[in-house]
Amino acid sequence: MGKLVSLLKATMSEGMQLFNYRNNRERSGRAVPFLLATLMGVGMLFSATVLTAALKEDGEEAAVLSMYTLVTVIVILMEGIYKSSDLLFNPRDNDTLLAMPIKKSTIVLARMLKFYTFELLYCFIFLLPAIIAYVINVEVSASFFLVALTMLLFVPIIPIAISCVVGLIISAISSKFNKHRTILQVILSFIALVVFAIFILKFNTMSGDNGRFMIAISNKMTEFYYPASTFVGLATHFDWGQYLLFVAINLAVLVATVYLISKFYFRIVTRMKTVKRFGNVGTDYKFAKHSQTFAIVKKELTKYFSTPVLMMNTAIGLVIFLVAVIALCFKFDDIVASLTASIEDFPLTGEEVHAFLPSVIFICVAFASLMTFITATMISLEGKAFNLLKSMPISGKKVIMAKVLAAMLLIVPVTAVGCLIAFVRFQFGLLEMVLVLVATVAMPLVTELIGILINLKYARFDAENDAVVVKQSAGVMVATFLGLGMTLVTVSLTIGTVLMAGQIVGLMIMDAVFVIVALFLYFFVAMRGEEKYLKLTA
Amino acid sequence: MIRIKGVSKLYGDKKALDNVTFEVKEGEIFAFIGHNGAGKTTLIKSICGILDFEEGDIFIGGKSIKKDPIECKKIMAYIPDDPELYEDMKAISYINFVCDMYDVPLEVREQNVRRYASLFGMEKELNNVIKSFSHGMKQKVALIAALSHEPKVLIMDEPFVGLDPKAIFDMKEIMRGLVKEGGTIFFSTHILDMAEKLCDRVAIVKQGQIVKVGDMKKIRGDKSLEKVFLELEAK
Repeated sequence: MGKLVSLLKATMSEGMQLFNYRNNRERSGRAVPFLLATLMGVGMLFSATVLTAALKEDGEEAAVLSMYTLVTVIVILMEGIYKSSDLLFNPRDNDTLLAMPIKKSTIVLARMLKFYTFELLYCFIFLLPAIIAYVINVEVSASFFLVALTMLLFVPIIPIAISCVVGLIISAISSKFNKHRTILQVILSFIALVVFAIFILKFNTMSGDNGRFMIAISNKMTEFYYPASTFVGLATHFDWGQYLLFVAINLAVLVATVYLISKFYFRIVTRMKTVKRFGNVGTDYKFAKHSQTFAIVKKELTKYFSTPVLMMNTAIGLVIFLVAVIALCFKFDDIVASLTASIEDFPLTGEEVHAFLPSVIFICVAFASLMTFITATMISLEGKAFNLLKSMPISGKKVIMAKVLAAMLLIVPVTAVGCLIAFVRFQFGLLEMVLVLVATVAMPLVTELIGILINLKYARFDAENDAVVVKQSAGVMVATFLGLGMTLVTVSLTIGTVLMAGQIVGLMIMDAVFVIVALFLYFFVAMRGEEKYLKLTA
Repeated sequence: MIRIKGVSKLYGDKKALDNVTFEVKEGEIFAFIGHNGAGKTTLIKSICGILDFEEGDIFIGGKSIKKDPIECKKIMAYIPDDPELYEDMKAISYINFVCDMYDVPLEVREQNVRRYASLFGMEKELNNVIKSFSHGMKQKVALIAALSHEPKVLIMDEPFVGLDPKAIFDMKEIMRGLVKEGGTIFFSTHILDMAEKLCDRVAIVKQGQIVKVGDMKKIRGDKSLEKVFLELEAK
């Protein structure tokens, strides 16, 4: 037990840099992610309160608890599936810990508890507001508070256990390969996510009650997912037996997962660390001379395609965008029919929806671009090599802009291809095409310039692995919440301006806003970015 | 070639460097020694423009690292103590990347890469990915990349750590060759025997302050450098 506590202290202090600050200025900087998380929690509280009040009319107010439990579980699973592999098997301190007289199960437990601590954040953003909304709307007994606290602490256990087992399977398979390990890890993680998404969608098709769509899906999933139904059961009729059984089941799941992973831990870690070197790969070197910007962009792209967790984290939005646009192109009539059937008093006819397609594609571009912050990790991912880069005769401005360019090269072609498919299928007018294409450049430019500024502010070069930088750093937290906020504002403004000023003028206004913001950010980064870059040291 | 003038660096309240002043002349090998945490890496990072410092200035070839960093860096190469390079790149791609940063012509880079790769026994390894290399091999890649752009000033932080005996011997030969051609080498080390045999001049740093600087022969007198260092440490 003592070893576990010491190990936890050591690993937590390394990972939780959010809580380490040297002065008031740093403290206020570290507070920004928490402020944004709190803002999001307040938004959730508002939506949960409205929903609980609406459900109360039908006497189903407890459904809000199961709904938000499910949202929390889905969010933890969605991101846990692809980061668990790196978090469990790839930390930098593996060699040190494995050389110490510590049981492998203790190491695995410490890794999982660290993972758990970070995921608790989602409980506070999604589940806590639902609990507060429930307490506001319903008269609860004292036992409810015990149940609520237990749920806040125990809800992440099962999704984390599932994520870790999936991570174990992905790592076990991919570690057997040398040359294509990275791409295999990406493909396997993607398959796991697709399987999970199909599983969720099954509930959509199973619920058929179109009038009460959300409740129907939630009820189906609650029936299936034991902790969600237990939460509702214990909240309405507290029973010690059921409560203790719930706690016992969760702890048993945790113990079983730790046992299972520790059985394979050493073997997988060893294989993951082994990168085969080919004895004689020839002396036929390729020498090519490029500009500094080209060299940095090439380096960034190499890093991107060698970092599965970064690819998964940033490509998923782009892939969903492409799939959504293709689905819209080929299943347009079915989608319109489904919308009119599932939403009572749907205000538009099929032809009217068709007329607004440029705005729909514009909004899709906003979703794909404004939530994809590739640059938010690009400086931190330099690691200690940042010092080498800084010792070279290249200005900070050039490095920063090359990183933004690399990110743009990853995003713009995907969104542009999606748009071109829509242009051809729906035969957009020239002006409509131009307006959408301007957005495919201006929106990611805004995002990536903000991303690099965030990373300059929250750069971290000593992370134990890439997954920590990509999924658990302060900069990424800020970028995620900011991206969500920017998307919601953009979508609302687009709908508002299009409805008020007409489609063409509305989209023109939105494009103008993004172009102006992008230009402002460009000059701001050019002037202040260098200054911030020079202050950084790995 | 390197002029350090009244440099002070603060980490919070602690002075990591305290009014450090000395000069490294063109064509000399200069050792910088001190105990762990004395300020060696801080000064090296300051010279290379990696770390900002509060007071004083550093001049490389007559130019200020604060006012004209790019020009200073053009004639300089830095080898860190821990060669954390871009692990996902092939060694040859990394070397090409460094050469692109220094705008090295194709013929020059090809000639230098082949020369140093052969010298360090790495000619059959450069098409491998860096993460498959041992610590020493990574150090050799860092050295090949640094030497490929023919720097006039070579700044090295513990350059011999991780190198095999043959590579250490070759490294010393390269250092001697470089200074013969007018180059300047400034490096930190804990291997005092090597510093004694290899260097023209030495500076000893203690708690951020230079306690001794000058010609190697003058500083050690009839004692060994190790003895001089230990006496200074004991004071």
